[in-house]
Amino acid sequence: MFRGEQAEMSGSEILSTLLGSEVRGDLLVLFHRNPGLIDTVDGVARRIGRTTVAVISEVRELLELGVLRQKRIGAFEVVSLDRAKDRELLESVANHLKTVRISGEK
Amino acid sequence: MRVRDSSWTSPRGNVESVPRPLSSDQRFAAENAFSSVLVSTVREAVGDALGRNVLEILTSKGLLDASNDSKEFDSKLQSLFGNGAAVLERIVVKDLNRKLGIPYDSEASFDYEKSLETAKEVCFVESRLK
Amino acid sequence: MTAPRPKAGASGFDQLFSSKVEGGLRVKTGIVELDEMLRGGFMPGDAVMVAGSAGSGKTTLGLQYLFNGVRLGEPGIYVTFEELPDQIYRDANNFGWNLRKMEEEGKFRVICTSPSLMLESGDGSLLEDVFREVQPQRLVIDSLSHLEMFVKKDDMRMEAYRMISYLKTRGISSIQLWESPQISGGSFSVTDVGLSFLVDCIVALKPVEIESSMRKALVILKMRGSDHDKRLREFEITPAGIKIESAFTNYEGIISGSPRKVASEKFMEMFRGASEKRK
Repeated sequence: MFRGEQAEMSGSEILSTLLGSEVRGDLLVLFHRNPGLIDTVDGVARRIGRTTVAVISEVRELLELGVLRQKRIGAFEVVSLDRAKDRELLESVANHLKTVRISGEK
Repeated sequence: MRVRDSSWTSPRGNVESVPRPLSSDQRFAAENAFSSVLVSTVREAVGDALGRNVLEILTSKGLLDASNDSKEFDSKLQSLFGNGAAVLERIVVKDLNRKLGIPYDSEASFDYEKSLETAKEVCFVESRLK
Repeated sequence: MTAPRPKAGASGFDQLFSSKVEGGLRVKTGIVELDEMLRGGFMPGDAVMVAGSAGSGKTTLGLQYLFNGVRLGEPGIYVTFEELPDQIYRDANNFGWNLRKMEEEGKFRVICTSPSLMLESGDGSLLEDVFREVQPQRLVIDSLSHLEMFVKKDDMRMEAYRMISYLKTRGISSIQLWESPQISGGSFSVTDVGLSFLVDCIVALKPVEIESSMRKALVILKMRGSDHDKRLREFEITPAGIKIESAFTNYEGIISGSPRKVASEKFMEMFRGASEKRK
């Protein structure tokens, strides 16, 4: 797994990726509620009540996006929240949502 | 008129004694209690998923005001998030169920409106049993 | 004009702040009476063990130490191995300590990881990033006893020594929480794996039953390089945090688990009782 280089994404694209699946939503909530969490993918899966198989591809998506970052600790690969990148991405999402008309909005 | 059995199975899966009917004051209080729990749950869920800035923007667009009307809330979420609306709704229901002690099955088909109805029923039963 | 009397307990924090400079090099807990017991505070860079049974107040003491440290301009890190660390934010909120706000300001971090990763990170790489970001001067490990489940008993001392040394070389004043099922007798050994000798200071917390009610006791069992109050003091967990009360002067045997009134106090009670009857 690696953090790939990619052209800057729009707020709408970032949002689609962040909310791309229920598991990804669970991961976002887990890391936002526990921003200091550092754990293996197995450990993260256990914390959200899922199997590693169910979680691994979703973690990969969030690593690609940059919300999560990866590091080697001895024999283990661990993931943690990239706070600065997370703030930057959510700012883009917020800016995008400001322009979207909600149903019923005047 | 509702036909009562000697016992019933609650949404939590427990067999409980028949709850007594609520007076109008009790019903009003139970509605308010559920509404309060729901709004705070929606606030926490959206805030924890997408951050406080996004939550503030959505609040200004009236999303939290729509929390108590599941259809209107769903419609607003769809217009903002498209397919992502279902992900947010699941987060809300998971948190709400956890607060009310209701099991959540991520494999089961998901209906936001029905999930809220179930949660509301549990809240009302809690009020009746007090 | 007389100097103002120091306020007791957690509410006396402002009084304490002005004495930080006067007191010289000490790491203040911010709990007025505890700092008095420590003759000003912990020694800088020391490894302190706070030992006690479940629910004795270890986590509260650790959080209060860090929270007060941030207020004194000393950033801190709380390392937990608990499954649900967001409970820590909620518990701290109950005392009015907004940990999330301190994190946003870059002065504090709650790090949640697993004991096996902590042990694997022999070179400290697990915490290096957060050390670089926060530049901590204080750190709490909650808890060292979690690590015991992941290592052989013979290796525990070595692993603890490695961790303590790592923090000391960075000049970080640390508190290591240790869950003890019981602390009894007069010995300094609060763990069954010989860790008491690795730390510089040991603060023991113990729930005690006195006259059919549960009370909390705190004692400083050891403090290298400094005098300290050797009395057993009662403490409370108030809505503002830990507050230390007076010493258990009328009782003995509290640490051994068999508290009883001291002979002189018993005699006085009998004397008072006899006087009442004669009236």
